[in-house]
Amino acid sequence: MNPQTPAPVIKNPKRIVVILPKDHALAIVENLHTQKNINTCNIHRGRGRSTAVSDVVSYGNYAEVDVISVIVEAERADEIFEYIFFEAEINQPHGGFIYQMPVEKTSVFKIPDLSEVI
Amino acid sequence: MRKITVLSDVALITCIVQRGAADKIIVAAKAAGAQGATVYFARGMGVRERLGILGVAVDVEKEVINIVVSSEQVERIFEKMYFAGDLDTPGMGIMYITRVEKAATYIPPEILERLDTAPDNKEENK
Repeated sequence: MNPQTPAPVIKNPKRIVVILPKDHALAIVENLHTQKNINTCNIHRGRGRSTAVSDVVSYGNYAEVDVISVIVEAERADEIFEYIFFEAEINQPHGGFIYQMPVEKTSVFKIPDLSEVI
Repeated sequence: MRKITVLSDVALITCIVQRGAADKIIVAAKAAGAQGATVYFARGMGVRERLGILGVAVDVEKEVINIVVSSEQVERIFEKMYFAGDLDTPGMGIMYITRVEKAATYIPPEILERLDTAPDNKEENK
């Protein structure tokens, strides 16, 4: 890239982080792509510990969790936050946790146009 | 109608330490009032290279701890975690607080009911 050209950025976007039970993340990411046209997400796996566990045996133990991180424009943040909240059933017991935080700027990610190639 | 009860006044504590050090930090955070924690593995670099031969004592594999806590508790939990992880020792790790705009999770109906009938919220709910 020509160093004179400023990198395309989106200013003041939001980062939404979702902590979900194991194996729940991929379906959410696919739905974000097909229904909300969000083409870039990160998923990683971790271990989570919470007091709100489903039974006495696992109380205080770690459980595997999926973590999704998605950056969206500020105008769409509330819409996407709400969408994920209900789509991932975070409103159900042991459904997970979602939070949103401000970001200063983000690079623009575009899927290459392959219509001529295909 | 579907409704989200949004938690505001929360903060995210992120703590990056050497692999194996996370558990005692989380125990300290929970003792100080944190409700949960998420941990994942990562690989880090920085001080290890600058320490020269002493750098072998710093593990390249890291654990990253994420804890969301209320703003009221954040300073206390941060301090407890800091000392539990010996972060005042060079090379042990780093931690920071990020402002969270909003958060949401499942809230049991009985707690929601209690919140709705609280004197402070009655006026707002009218």
